[in-house]
Amino acid sequence: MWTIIVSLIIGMLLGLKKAVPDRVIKYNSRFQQAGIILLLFSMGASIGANKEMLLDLKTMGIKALTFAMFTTLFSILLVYIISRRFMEEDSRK
Amino acid sequence: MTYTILIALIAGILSGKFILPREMVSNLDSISSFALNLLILSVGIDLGSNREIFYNLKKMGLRVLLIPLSIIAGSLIGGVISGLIYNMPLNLGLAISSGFGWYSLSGVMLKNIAGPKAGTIAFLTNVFRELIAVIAIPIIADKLNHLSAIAPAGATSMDSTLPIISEATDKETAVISFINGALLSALVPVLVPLIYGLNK
Repeated sequence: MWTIIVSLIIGMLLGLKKAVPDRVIKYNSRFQQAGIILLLFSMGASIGANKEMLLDLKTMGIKALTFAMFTTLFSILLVYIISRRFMEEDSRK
Repeated sequence: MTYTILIALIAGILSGKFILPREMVSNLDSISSFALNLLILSVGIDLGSNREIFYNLKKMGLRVLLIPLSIIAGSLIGGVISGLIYNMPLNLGLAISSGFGWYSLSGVMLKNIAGPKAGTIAFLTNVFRELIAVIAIPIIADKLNHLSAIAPAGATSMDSTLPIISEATDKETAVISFINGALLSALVPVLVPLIYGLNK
């Protein structure tokens, strides 16, 4: 778990200090896409290899929809209240 | 990219079910935790290279930080409520909600630290969040106010939903939207594992 946070901090420092040459940076987003594809493929494989998970996919979808709706709703509500209260001149309609 | 992501996931499910032997799947798991760290390193480099964020933050004033803070608080409240509805452990509900719409990253991260079930829910949650954002942004910008239109987008407000926000609002809100997305994106790889590790 900590390795994730340490990787992020090292990456951010490398980026801030411009330690990575531009010609390498150019490939950074390609690299991220490749990484995400590999990781999602592997996540898919664990789902596919697990019968219980496959049967559960619909329940998981409904749970996910609930999470998506509540997180979005409360984010909007809080930003609306805070922006009305503290940032009125920025939040003209 | 959205299609590629879906194809990768579906191809994975199909090969996990029909092609790959069990041992291969667990080998893939160990490769993927290494790949995840490399991916996060690369995300960090991207975020660190965005120096104009600091310049824009200075220009706009620290008050704009209230936007990402409200989005974090709102998402976590939503996560607690949804977790309660389904009787989930508190740390899992909070970790799912701290993906802030970044589905690819939060999904694979939770899969690696909390198992495929948590990863799948996180992935779907944040896919749905981005879909809701695409629909909600123009409506909110019109009915509530411009700044609130950034809220549903979460971490995606610096890339995939930025064009929609900038179209529905104004220049200044678009800059705040970018700052917001960059900060939330930097926090996803920190908050998801930290919060999940809370009561462990």
